[in-house]
Amino acid sequence: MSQSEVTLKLSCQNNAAQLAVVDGDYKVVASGVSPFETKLAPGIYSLRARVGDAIKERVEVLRADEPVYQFQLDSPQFQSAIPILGTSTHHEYQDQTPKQFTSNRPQVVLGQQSSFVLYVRDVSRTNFNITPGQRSVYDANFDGFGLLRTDGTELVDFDIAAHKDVDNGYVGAQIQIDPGAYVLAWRHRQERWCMPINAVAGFSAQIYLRLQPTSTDSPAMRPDFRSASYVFDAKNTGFDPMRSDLNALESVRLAFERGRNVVEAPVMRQMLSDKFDNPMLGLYAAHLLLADERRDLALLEEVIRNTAGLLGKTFPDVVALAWGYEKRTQRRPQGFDDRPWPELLQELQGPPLLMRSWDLLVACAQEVAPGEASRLPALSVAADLVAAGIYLVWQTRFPRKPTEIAATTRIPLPRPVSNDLGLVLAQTSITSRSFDFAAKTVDRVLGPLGIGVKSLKITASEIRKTEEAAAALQSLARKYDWSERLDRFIAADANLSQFTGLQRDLMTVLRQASADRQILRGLDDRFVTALIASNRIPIETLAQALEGLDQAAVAA
Amino acid sequence: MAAGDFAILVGISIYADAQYSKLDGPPNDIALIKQWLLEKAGGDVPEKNIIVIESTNPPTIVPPYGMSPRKEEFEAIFNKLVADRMALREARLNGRLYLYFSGHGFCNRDIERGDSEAALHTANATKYINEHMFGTFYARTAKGGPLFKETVLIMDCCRSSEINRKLLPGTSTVTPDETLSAHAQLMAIYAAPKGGLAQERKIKEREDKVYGLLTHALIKALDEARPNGNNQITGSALKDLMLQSWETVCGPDAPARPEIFLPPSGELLFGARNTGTPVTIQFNNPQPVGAMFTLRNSKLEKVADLSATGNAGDDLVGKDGSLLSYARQANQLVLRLQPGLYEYSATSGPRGTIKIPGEAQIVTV
Repeated sequence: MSQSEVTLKLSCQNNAAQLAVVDGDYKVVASGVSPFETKLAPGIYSLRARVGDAIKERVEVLRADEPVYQFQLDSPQFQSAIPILGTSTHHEYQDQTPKQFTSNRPQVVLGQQSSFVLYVRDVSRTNFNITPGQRSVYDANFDGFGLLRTDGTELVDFDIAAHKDVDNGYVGAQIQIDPGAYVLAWRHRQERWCMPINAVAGFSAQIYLRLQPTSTDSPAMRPDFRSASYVFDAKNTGFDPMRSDLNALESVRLAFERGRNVVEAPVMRQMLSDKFDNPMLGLYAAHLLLADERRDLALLEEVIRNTAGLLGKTFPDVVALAWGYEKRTQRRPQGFDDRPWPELLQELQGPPLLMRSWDLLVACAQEVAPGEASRLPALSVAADLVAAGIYLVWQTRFPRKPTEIAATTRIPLPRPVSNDLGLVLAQTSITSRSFDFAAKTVDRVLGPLGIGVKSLKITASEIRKTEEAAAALQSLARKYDWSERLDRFIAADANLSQFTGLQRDLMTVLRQASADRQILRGLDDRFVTALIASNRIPIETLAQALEGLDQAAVAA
Repeated sequence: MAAGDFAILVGISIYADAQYSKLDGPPNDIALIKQWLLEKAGGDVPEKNIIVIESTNPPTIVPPYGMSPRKEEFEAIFNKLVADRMALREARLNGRLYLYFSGHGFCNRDIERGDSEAALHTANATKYINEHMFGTFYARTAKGGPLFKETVLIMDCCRSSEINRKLLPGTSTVTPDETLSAHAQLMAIYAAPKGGLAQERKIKEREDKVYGLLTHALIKALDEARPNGNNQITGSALKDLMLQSWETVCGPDAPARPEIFLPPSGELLFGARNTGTPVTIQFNNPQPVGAMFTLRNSKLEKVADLSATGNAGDDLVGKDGSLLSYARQANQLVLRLQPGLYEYSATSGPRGTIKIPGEAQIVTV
């Protein structure tokens, strides 16, 4: 230690907080998790603790005449859907209310061994400020939730089954169910937003949601799935707003949102090993450890093993983590099922809870079961995923008409336009005004080869590679005037209920490409690669979407 | 003048679908950014090289799906730029491209790559048709080409509270030149990926007009940041200042901090105005004869000794440049300081610290 340096010992009341020391040039000169020690030149520093977006800061002067400084920062008051003490969204009038949904008296009994708890609240205190004229709009904010089977059948309508206390701004219910895969859905007009529920024997799966205003001048709100809190408690564990494990869980969730590994702090390590009893903490921690380049593989293996011990080895997120672990270490976590991966994938009844788990399962399916991904129940919602932070959320319109898979003649797809033949296609391509002429031109060019764009049918099973998907996409763009097709679809059903989210997205591209040659040429395998990556889907999902669009366009 | 620099500014404030509320910020954001780009001590970009795509107010009456600005309008301009730049061959590795987007939009974060992506909803987006401009895609295309030596992406567009579909890549085609691209740099600045409508608000110091918070904070940082020896602001200094002063600049209920991604190596440089931030030192009691007000910088070096009784002859100002100017008013010293952490002391009073920029820059002694 240089004579001119001083020692700073920094800690925070919240063990999962990220700590930072910032100098006068606003550079972070030291950072870590609590407790934390560093040596610094004397000077003025900003000392910061952060949990999620919440920050506690104090500016301190460290002088050379004092060798050691010690500070404890207050816990930043982060936001949480769970009404726990010490958060910025805690309200006394709500903090005991989840107890009625976590006791041994469920509101609805549908099965045994497991339960699901939904708790939705408004943290904005709008309930105290609404006018009589706004009352019905505000009341409706708490409606629309349902518990579904994975096939979409509604098991519980929370509008009927839940306890709704609008005066205090919350709604909730506990449903006793059998272990297995379910879906929490929120319906709004013709749409449903869905989250997976994987019920486990002996545990209560709990989803806490916050309502979020949709504008500054209306009491209308929406559930914010991005900031949802997911808890697995041992069944009949009562809620207590002072529970420190919930505070730790939420702190780690917020760190997970930012990809910050805070789980290697001493207190957190203890929670993940000797004192492990929180499966959701295990899932967050395992993903953080897996994503950290300096990962502690022994701790990772222990966390996966502990989490599997509580949730079971067929829990989708556990399987995903085991796959991720094997990819890193070339071996499975100790004690994990040693059956082949395709078998384990087939056994999953529904999708995982976390987006990171989803990515791992998609990668696993692509590697060990090519061509099968879209048939796996765990990946069945791929075409409807929405961006919702760390959670897997999908959005469907209802009722969705099932797409009939007609028997198709298998015709080889043309190669993408990057080759010579493709270039001819691109150069003779179409505008929306001259579609028929151009299509005939294309057909004439391809005639000798027996391939006509107009008569081409897109067959999902023919598409295994990105260049094949690109060729199919280009063919579709040439085959129809998508601006006109889209108008027809909207005229028939403004909600476009028959299409998946992916198909609706693809139609926006096809609409542009069928009217612009340069854009058409842009639909190459690089575009498809980027599309698959940004949508986080297996190629089979894209192939099915293209086949479905072809059939719908023919029918229109 | 940065004659080879180019900027495409997109601001969308009016949407066909009522689910997207009308925004007040984008026209002001565009004007503010454009003003900075044109200034000699700012971007110094020739006006002819700045293309603005924005909502017309009142909107032109067209079918909802035809409402402008649309993705294809942006892509037509971007694709022409691609063609023009690629025609320059190796000489295209020059100059800077600014891509700026303001309006409703959405962001995704990838925790493994530590990266973010964002898109701007176009005016013809509806609940069912997810029309958007994937800003990150175009910036990556510009870097990958490369089209310019430097690309700066600014996306002040995470104002939508709705859950959104995934991002859809653009269809602009560039065959990347990896060798050239290795010498190109990309800096990306995103408003935080959170919902809510608080990302734009009235800004008192900008005549109470509504601005996107990211745009306001960015221009404020560019105006006030401490320049380097060449009177320029480095990308990393800009990032540090924006992040560490975010809560104080945005005030109560500040939304989550923006995300700023710097190039992995090298620095992007920005013009510096070095205006600093005003701070008022208020003396509550009459100061004894000879009383001094002392200011030290974060290294505890003396920045200035200023007479607390108005005797200018006693003033002593250090050479570190932190104190840009000062003036006296009744019982007050009005200082203009560069951003940073300071310690003050007065002959007759306690010591204290000042953070610049701070929330209320009035320090009572």
